[in-house]
Amino acid sequence: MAWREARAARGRFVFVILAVAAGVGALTGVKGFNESVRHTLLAEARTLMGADLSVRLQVEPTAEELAYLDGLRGRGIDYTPVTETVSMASSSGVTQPLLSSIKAADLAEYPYYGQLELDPPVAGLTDARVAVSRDLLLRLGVDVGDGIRVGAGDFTIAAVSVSEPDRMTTGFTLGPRVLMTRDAFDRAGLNVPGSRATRRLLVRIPDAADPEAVREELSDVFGRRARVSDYTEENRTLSRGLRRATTFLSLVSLIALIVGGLGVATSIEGHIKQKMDSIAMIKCVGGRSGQIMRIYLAQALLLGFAGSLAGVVLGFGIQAVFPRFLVAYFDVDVNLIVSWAPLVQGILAGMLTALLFTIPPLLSISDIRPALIFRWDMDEAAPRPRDWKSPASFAAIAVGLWAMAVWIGGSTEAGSIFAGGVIVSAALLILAGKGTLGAVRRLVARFGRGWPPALRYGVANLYRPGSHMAAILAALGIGVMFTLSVQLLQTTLVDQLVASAPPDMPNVYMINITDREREGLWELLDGHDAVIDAPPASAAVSALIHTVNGVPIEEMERVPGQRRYLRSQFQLTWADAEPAATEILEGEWWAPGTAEPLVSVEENAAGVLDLEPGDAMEWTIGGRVVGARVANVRRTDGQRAGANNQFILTPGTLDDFPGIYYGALRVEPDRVGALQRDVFERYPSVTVVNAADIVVIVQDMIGEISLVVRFVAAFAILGGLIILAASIAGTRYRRIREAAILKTVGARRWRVIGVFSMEFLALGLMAGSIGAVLAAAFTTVIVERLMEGTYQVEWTPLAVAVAVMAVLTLVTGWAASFRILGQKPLEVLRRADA
Amino acid sequence: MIRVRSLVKTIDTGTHRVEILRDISFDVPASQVLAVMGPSGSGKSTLLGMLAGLDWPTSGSVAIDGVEITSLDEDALAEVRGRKIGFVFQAYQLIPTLTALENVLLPAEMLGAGNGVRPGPSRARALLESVGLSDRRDHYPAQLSGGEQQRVAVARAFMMQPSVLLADEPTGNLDSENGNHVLELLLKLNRDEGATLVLVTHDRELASHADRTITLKDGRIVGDA
Repeated sequence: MAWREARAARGRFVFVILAVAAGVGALTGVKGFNESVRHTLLAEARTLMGADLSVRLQVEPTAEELAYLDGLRGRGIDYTPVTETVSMASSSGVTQPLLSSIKAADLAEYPYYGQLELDPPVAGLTDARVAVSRDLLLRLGVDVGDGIRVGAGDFTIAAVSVSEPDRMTTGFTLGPRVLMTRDAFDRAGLNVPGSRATRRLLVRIPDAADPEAVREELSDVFGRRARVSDYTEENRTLSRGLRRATTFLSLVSLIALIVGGLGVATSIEGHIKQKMDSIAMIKCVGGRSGQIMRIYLAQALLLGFAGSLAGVVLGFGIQAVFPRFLVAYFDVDVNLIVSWAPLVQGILAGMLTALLFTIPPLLSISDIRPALIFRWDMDEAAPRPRDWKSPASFAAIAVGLWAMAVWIGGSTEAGSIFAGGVIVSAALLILAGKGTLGAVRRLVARFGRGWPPALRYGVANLYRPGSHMAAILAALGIGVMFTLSVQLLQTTLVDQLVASAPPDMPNVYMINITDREREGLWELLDGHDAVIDAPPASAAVSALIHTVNGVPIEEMERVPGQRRYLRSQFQLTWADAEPAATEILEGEWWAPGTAEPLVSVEENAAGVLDLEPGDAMEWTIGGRVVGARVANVRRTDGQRAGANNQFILTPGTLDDFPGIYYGALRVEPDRVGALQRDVFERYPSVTVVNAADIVVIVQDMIGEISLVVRFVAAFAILGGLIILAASIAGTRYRRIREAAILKTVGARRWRVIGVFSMEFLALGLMAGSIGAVLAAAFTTVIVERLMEGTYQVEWTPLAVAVAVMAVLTLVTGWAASFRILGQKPLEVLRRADA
Repeated sequence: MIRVRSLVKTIDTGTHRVEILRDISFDVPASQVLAVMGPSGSGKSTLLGMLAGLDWPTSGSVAIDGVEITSLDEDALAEVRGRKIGFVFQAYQLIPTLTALENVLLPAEMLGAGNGVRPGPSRARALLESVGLSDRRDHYPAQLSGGEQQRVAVARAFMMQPSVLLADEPTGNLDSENGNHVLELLLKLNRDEGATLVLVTHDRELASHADRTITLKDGRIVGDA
């Protein structure tokens, strides 16, 4: 019965199925991609690490540690070091140097698993031959076979490095890759003790050995100096990131699903309205409301199921699109798989949404009185009496959505927050939709007299009975709101990044300066006319916290945030005078020339470690212990690099340790390149980082993330447009008739086109405006409440969103009004007579 | 005035051809009230549509006030309809999203700011008053009874002071009281405004008010009195 009923209204229901499919497609696309990546990670876990175990250090391994590792070779356990750092590279002539990420490995050993892919596949890189990534060739304007200068060494580019198996474990890098042997690394002068670099020892274990036992053993040897992880753990970190991303994106896809649900609701409601006579008739002959409800319920579920099936197919296509967005992060060929869990979840979610949103129209069935059949000219717009049903069904939908968000997001907290946000926004959107519709109607009634007729009639058409304009506005608006919010947040974040910097903030950083280079380099800087300000270099020695007031840090009482202090290497620095932008909270800064080992502790560190002036601290540096008494606790402006070292000691305390120097300068922004050239020429192993480049990299990264989110969110807009199309197709007959009347009273074709175009445009403008206003409000709340920033409303993106929406609704409107213009008025109007 | 010559309309349904109008010719002088009668399917309404330029004949011609309308394109036809022809349908055919007043104004506004002075809201209000609906100006069609809707449609038909008014079973959906009222209005406005009135009906009582009655059968004129 349900099927037979539904078949008659096929045209309208095709749209509903598509709307549900958009939502389910987005959801299964996200979930399916997650499954595929997890599957790939699991299958390729060893390859992704290139080893069984990895030992990650921030400093060089000590001689004892290396001796221990060498001793393991007797048990068949091999290791090979891999070092990654940044340095400057240029083509052989004196050209602009480029910040590049260097990877040095022993290519006879590395990688233990997976393949290093070079093009051409040359057998060996040597101390004079390196491989580089394709974008480096592009950016330096060189080719394979050309010369390249990296740090202090000149090399020949032997090949293009196409892929490294362990690329993903490195995270994101600053600049294109140069891959070289360890000898080449030494020759480039980059192997500076204490320099900023990621040092990993890749370990291969024979099949017979127990990886867990070896891991324990290595953990004991390196202690807190290193992080030892096995290949499944690397995986865990990636999986955690993946899981978070999946939770977020699937919740975003829930918005599209909700829009699909609105589609089901409006179409079932419209369908029931059309069938009121037959429902009244069925009741007259003794049918009970329950029986009739079951027919429409089955119909809704059928629609949900059909939409879900279509969505699952669509989802597989969407899943295939994701890797394109993520090339920068997933340097792995993701094997796309079809797994059952997301499919089943997608179908259930689609049907559940259909079910939830069918509650209100189903409940309205019991309001249809059998007597209706005798009252033909009933007022369509008569308000229905308010009763318990509408708040009850709203509550049911809200609870259902919350449950779905928790289920789909796989997290009670994230799901609840999200569901709350969506329900509030949806309620706001519906109110805003109704409010706008009412306001526009009053506006036209009051001031519309002199407006062009096409505009007035177009707007009047929005109030066509049975067109569910408020719901359509909400459906379109929620998609606009979310997609636009993501974009506004993205630009705000990036602006914040740039604008929040104080004007005297350094814009160029120099890293890996040795003591030997320091004086000459600063002479160059002081004499360079591009440099505005070059404060003295700050030194740093990597150290681990050993004891606080005599208590080993491992034994201290655990407080939140302490883990970091337990595990991290700190850059100890020293200073005679109080640094700029510093406020002493407790104690006093030391007098110049103080010989006693004293330390100034940054506020947060002091809080976590429970330090106050007079306390004693000890650090270990390369196996040796150094101590100092806390002189003061200070607060620093965290945005000033170099000032945010947690521990600043009195000069002389660290004299016995090999330090490495850093510089933070202010340089005329458009002359950073010139400075980079001049420094590179004389101090090639010093890395000069232009903060603007980093901002660009971060900007790109945020941009890519935002693109993925907007891609998923755009399915909500798609769903909204489909509902609009459904509604327009549903009122197609009325439109044909009205077009005929307009023609009969003398309207030319373009005027008829104008009337309908105005209707679609007005709808898009309203939906776009509501979405844009709410997006701006939402962004303000997020930025000002959660990020403690300020959001300056920019009109351009809002206006663009409104305009895009107007164009989209116009195109959708006409696509769904297919052939209404070509009809002959006489036939249409006589059909109405019959 | 209306001049119809050798009008033929055939429809190709795919399987066979249906001849709806076969060689119809007649003239209607200005201000005449003409009733077109005939059984269902005799081609009355099709003929009326041809007179209004709502459809093209297969062959033959229709001229309104000397203007040959059968050779005009769609937009030119719309212009002629707007300026010279008023139409009243059996099922009223008001636009549901517009008020009574706006429906009456519609022909004026659809014509655009062309040559000549357009009748405006004051005429629309006057027409609504003459059909007895001045107090229902701002009601939507759904809020009006069938008789009231048809009176709005009559007012709309006279809005542009047409030289020809075509009515297709104008009282067909109304009870006799409302039907008579609408007919009286049509005849009164015909007198006051001097329009040629063509009524399609199968109601003899209605036809008896006409100056002349043409009877159609199977697409041919079988009576003209």
